[in-house]
Amino acid sequence: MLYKLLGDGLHYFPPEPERKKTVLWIPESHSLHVCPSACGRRHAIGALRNGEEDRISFLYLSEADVASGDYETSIAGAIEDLLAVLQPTPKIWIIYVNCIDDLLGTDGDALIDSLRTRFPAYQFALGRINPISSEQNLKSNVIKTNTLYSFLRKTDVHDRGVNIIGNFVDFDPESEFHTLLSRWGVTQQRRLYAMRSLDEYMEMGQSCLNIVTRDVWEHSAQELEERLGIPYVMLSCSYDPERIERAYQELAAKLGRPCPDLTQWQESAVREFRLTKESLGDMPVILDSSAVMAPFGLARAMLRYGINIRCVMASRIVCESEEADFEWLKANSDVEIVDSQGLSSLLGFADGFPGLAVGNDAAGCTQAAYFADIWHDELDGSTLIGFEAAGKLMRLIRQSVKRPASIEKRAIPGKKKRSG
Amino acid sequence: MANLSIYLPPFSSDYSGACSALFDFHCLIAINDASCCTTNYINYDEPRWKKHAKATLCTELRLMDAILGDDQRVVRRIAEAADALKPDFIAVLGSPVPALIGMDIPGVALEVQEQCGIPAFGFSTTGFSYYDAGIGAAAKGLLDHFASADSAKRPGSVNLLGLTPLDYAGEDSVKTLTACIESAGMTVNASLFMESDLKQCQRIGAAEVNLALTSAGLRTAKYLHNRFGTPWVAAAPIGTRYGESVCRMLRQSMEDGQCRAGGGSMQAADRHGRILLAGDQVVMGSLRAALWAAGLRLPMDVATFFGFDPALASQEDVFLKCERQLIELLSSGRYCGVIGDTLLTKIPAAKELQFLSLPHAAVSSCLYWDQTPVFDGLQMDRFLTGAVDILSDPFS
Repeated sequence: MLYKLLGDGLHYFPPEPERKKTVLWIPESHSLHVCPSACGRRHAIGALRNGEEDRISFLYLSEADVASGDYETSIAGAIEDLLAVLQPTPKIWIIYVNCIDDLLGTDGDALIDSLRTRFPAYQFALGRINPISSEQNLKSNVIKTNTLYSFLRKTDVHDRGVNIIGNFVDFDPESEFHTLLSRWGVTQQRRLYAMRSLDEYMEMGQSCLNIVTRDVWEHSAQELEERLGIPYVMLSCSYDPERIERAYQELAAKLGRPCPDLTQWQESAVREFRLTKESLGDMPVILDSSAVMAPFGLARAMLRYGINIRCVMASRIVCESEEADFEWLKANSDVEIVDSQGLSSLLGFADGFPGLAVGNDAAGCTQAAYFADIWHDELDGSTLIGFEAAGKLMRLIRQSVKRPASIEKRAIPGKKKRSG
Repeated sequence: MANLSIYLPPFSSDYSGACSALFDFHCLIAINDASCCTTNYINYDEPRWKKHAKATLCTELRLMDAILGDDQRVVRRIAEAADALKPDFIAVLGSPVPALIGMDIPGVALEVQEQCGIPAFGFSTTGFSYYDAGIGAAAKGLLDHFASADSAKRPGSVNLLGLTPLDYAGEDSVKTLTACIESAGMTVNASLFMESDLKQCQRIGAAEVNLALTSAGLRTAKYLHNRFGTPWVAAAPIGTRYGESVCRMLRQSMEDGQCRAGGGSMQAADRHGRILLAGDQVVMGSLRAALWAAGLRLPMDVATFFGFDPALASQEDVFLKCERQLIELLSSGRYCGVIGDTLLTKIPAAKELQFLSLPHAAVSSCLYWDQTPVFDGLQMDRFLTGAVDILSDPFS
């Protein structure tokens, strides 16, 4: 697992785009955030926006609580109060602690044990939301994702279902991924966000394989393999036809089935890259990490087909393959790599980039002439996957250069007006 | 359970209040946190973030920096950014982790100042306190440094204090407040902290009277009274009629040098129940007076989670320490109506009462801040008239 910040300066955060943010919940669960009042605000407002406010509550720590450590004894009382009012009663409780707990050192195991003893009818787990430890072993989101699957139980019987771990919305229904899974005898794809009951959620423990679509969730899959014996395979969204082929071959092997000939799909994806090169000509392109989770990999794939990648904007490297692609780009290309949150980097951009920006951040910062709007590998409400992902992205790019971009200028503090 | 919040979201924090106060200045604000606190502020506590470029940046504090006390890394990053941005001043803010480890935020600011030669202020915000504390701290920090000691008084001039979108999210709030002041033959000397600049800070002592529009503003007004002898009026000009009353109080204070608070209790018989006004103490106290002026003859009590000055409070007014206390009030059977942030309707007990929504950005954030009315003028007059009609009818 890797997590590295690219830059070393102060970070600027642009306004968030207006998009629905899916929050992952375990069905019939309740999250109690134990933290200073400031820390919980974004979780609460996000939940209210999604109509999910009944799933979350807050036990505020005061400075006195932090000094005395008494807050641990308050948690049971808070749960009692919540049990008196929440309808229906949650069956699962996740106690979330925040950054300061990395310094307070709450004995999570002892806390959970005490809660289980006091409330034997319910299940408990401790979750951590601590970006302050981002460069430590595990990114905070990883700890959270581990917690989300921690209630699954080992079972002797596994069916031909697979768990999709890492998505927030369904895969693109037009992707060949579904056809292949069906050929490999997979009977269902289980996704946490689609679970409607605790019983349905627990069936995830019966799946024969975990398919992990984002690297930050790999640790969850490792934990499940160790604890439940469910193997996993990484299938991050890649747009490189060669890597997609390798990933499918690995997936087939994990499912114990032969991989069919993928040539037809692969050639289709390659054709889309070539058509895009023809369409763009030498038009410069900026990719950014708000568009795709692996921008360095995408840049490398597009360069192979002669597309003029001018710059990649990203704030962090989130996995080993991205690091390898990052190093490759530095050594083998003229692609400029820019910290997308670093103030000095953002100030360096001139306005009016005469090319295509793939991603909201790049388009807003550079006022690019053309803009391909894709967000975290999601397009039209679906997660892109497989050869069809490459095809859809390339078609999006070709469509995007047919009309000038219409995007709100992102004002960067201290940026003086100059044209590029 | 005292600190449990089931229905209401966490409120805007002290660092958000400080950032909001400093927004209009050409300054660099560095929030010393891992990123969540910064994103809390920019995404949920700053309605102006989408429209304006503002150098409110995150130091990306990490665990090892905190444990090892690597302040130099923070200092270097801030100094580099200051070199690029050339701000008039720098503000360094704290968050829960720096507070926990006892990081000397003012000391960090001093080192930044020494390194880059730009005035730098450290605000020991913690994330454990609310926004009004941050606004007050920002005001004191700025005025300690920039307020000129010998400003000649400008006759008929008023400072507007405690003004941020966290309490006054209504569009054109400054414009309407200024119009209200000017319509009474006075002028606005400074508006802290909307449409503010350093020149206003420099001449802050020149005003004849300070108008504290919120509890945070009252804190600043008291500071200025100690420093310059400027009297204050703690009131929000809510609606046309009460706005005129506020202007009369300002005139009186100019003449006699006395401090005044609007919004005290009005004597009304408790026959059909009371009205609870939940929000900022000064704003809600003024709403009470405005409703009375509009004809509401029910007893009204102010309840606040934020700054509470007992000297401004009526007997039944209350400082709320936790959500449970508010729930107990609403469930007590004493109240027939409540006016407050829209999210109060999430509390089951509030649903049993006549409820009138008055969005408060420090509570409901971006969910309703574009629905906040401008407190002065016709929009508020309509609200007041409607409130009197609804709340006066015991059977509505």
